[in-house]
Amino acid sequence: MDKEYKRMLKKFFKNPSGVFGLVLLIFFTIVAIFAPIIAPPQPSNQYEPYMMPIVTWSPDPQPPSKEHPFGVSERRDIFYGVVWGTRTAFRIGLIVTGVSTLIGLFIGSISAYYGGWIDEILMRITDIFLSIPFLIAAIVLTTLLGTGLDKVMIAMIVFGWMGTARLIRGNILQAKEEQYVLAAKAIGVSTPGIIIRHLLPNTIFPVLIQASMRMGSLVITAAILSFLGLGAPQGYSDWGAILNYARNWMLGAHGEALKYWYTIVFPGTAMVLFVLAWNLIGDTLRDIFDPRLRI
Amino acid sequence: MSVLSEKTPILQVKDLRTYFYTEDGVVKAVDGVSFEVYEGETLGIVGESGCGKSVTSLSILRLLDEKGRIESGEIIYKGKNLLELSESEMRKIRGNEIAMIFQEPMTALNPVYTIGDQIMEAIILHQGLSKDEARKLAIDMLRKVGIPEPEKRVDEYPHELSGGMRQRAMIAMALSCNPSILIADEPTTALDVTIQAQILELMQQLQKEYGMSIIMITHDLGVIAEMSDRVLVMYAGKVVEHASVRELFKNPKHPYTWGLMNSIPRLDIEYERLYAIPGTVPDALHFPEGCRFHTRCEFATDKCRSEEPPLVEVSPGHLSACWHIDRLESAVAVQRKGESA
Amino acid sequence: MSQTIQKNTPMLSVRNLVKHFPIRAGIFKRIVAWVKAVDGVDFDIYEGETLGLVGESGCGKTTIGMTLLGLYPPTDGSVYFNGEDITPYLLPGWKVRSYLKRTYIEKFKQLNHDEMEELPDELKHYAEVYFNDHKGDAGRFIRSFMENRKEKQKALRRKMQIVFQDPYSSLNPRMRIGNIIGEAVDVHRLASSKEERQKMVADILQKVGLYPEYAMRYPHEFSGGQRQRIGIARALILNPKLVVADEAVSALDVSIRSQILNLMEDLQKEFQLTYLFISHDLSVIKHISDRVAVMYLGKIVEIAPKKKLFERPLHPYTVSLMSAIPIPDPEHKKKRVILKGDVPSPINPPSGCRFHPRCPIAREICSREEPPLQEVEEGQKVACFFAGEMS
Repeated sequence: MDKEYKRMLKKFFKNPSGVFGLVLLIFFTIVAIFAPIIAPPQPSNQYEPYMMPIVTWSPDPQPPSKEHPFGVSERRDIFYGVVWGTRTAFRIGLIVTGVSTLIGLFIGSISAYYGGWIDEILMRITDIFLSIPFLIAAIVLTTLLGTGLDKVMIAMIVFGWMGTARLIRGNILQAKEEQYVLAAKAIGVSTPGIIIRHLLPNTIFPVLIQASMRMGSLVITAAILSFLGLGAPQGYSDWGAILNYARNWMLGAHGEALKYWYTIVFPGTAMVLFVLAWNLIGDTLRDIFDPRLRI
Repeated sequence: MSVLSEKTPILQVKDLRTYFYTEDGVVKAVDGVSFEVYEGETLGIVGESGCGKSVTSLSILRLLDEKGRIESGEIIYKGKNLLELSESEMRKIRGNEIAMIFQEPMTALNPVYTIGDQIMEAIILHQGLSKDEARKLAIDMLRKVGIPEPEKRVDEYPHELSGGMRQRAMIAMALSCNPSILIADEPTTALDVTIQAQILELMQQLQKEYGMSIIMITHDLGVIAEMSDRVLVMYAGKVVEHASVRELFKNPKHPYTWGLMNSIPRLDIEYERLYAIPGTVPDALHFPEGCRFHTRCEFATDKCRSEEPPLVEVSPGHLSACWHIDRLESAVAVQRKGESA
Repeated sequence: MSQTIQKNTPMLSVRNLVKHFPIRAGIFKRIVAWVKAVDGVDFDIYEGETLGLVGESGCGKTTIGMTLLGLYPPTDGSVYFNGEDITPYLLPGWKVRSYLKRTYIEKFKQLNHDEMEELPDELKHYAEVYFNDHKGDAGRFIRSFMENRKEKQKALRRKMQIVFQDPYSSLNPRMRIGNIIGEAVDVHRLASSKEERQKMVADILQKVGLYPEYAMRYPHEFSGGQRQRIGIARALILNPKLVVADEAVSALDVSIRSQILNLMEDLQKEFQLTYLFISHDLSVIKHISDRVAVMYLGKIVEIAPKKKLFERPLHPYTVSLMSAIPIPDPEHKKKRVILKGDVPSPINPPSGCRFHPRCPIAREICSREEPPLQEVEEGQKVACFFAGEMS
């Protein structure tokens, strides 16, 4: 297997788009880790460094300058928000993907392994969750729980596990008929043992690939919710929230349509590149693991 | 029909080399194979998985995937070298002059078209008949291959037929354009023995009727004995022995052929213990130096390990590629003595 | 391989074994039909022998193997191991009560004490248990089967093991050979230390003709024949009494097949194994078996000692099957029986004798009545009204 991994790594590094995605991801990781050095919080708000500092009292945006390289929007420094927003993006992506993937794996593998009415019930529940429009559900849930980034994350987890569950169920249904699973049963391996040692290791790669693709799109979803005002509180470093500030300035000033471009371009670019990085990596992994999935 | 008969062959394969360029290296699947096929005869090609027997047949029709390349050699069919033809000229040969049937008819038939559509497609393409005439011919062909109620079956889809019926439909399709050569690649391996018996009988009967030549590719020595006139034994991309079927089974002149014949359990002979050729089939990426069989051969010497034995005529019409036929012959003599005692 | 048939109690007895698979369709997954894969099969396997089970695809031979090992629960019928009814351990827990009621309790309740002697051996034993040990208390009788169920199931796993057909799909590609074989040691706690486990794996690897160092490698590094040896090692490390070999050599090349057949014969002697050897290949069955059972569409049509069966097959299906096999000898001329048509679907098997639509000697009675499996000659049972007419 060690040889196998080496070969996969080799294939990965032969793929230019995969390497580009990886470079982007490493860049974002560095920004996230060194955020306190790249954009040091002011002493006044060092206890809540995620709050973007207020740098001016003028309500109009200010174009990029030496002190504020990405400009100022809603009285707050965009550069600071974009840098610290990287941490927020990673946090949302990792936690939501991680937890929802685990839930999906659990439900999907139980459903596939036992089959029969257990499968029937779990899959109908999955269908119900899938049939609810996500945005409406998220709005309802946040009105029940209250707004805030953590509530948004809960909403995304609650409505985010179904794809994984279905994917792993299909894969396990296939793998379950393999003779090594029957052999393990004949030896007397317990059900959890069969799922964990035999079924999951042979079915989990597509799930991991799907998860890496979802990392990106989740950040967009979170941004939409923030844009709708359901997510991060006023002034929190979050790309979606910064874009939300730009709502009033998007159309520019009279006769100068692009006057306030910086309120959109910087947080927007960060978000696009972040999503792109995960998608490129996911695509490359998919090509390596299963060339048949390529469409 | 004797080997090397005076007649001119209908198909001649000369020193064919087909290599596959994979990520791990070059696979020399077929490495210098020569043989000829005469009119109306059945040539059997026998060997184990990976010996190159299927790749040989795909090379004849130039049906290799993008990784496979015919490195050198000639494939002369009725005086033309097939390797020099353009793709459109080749298309006229395929299905029309040389047809092929496969092990698993389900993968060779298109699941979204009816059996009739698929037979008619070939007829219309190659013979330029009208649709109605083609349909009539298709029904006739289905009747000939023993499919009951051909007027009804012609409109059925492949999945509606049983395995044996699908293979019959494949044969009907292959023979619809009256080819001179039929290549059958393990045509009965996926079938049950009682169905295999039906299909083999059908092929023999159709061969008599149409007078075509058959190249029968199989791993089953029983099928070879029953069907072929001459036999090619392949091992690791090479022909190791070539003789008429009676001669081959009576006097095998290559240790591999001899080992193979002794290692199959038989209905007509009772063995206390089977002979087993030691070791495993060598990896196609790293075929051994010298004689490729030497790693598994009990007669091997230093010569076998360093020098490749040529395929030479050892008795009239009997070719073998072995340095130590004498050693094999004395071993066979001892074995026969033991059997008769 | 002893040619004599022991007359003592069989190691494994199968009585009226039935396995039907449901076919579901529609949005509510209703059962629309049943595949009658195994439909009432009786046979015995004696200690130390090899029983060959032969038949064409879809005849139910593989299903029998799977059912005996509890991989599919039986629909009906009983399985006895050394006289002990193991069916309750092959069934899911909630089906045991109704099984015991159906098989024993209802019969025993209507039984006069003097009729006990006339029961078949397997039932007699349980009648004694029921009346003497449990004083006719059905609840106690059932509880005795439900106690220590898990342990008994595990103990059974150690006595019966299986070798699968496909050397590629039967080994988990993401596990090292050492763990594939050693997993059984872990599950049954056979080793007290890591070193002992390692030694057990190394020993069994050597016994099947592989190097102990292979324990560190992954399945994809091995050839088909070597993988099959690994599969055999996995089955044998539990030191089973009975090994079901399900088409164990069918996927292998000719030259490798004889190696594995020889290995299995050697191991049988060394470990005193009993084999149920399932194959579609009559030549292989003939080579390895002491007795042979021929199946057709979920039924055994003929069962006999090998010599008798191959010298004088009595069932027309056995005769046709033998004549259909190509003999690797061009000089060999034989009369061949070519059967008409295809094997019918096990969803809707023909009435009467299931072979009658393809049978060359079928008569009117064959489509009406099902012939029972009867002893025609000593040790040779045939299910045919006209047994021997074709041989």
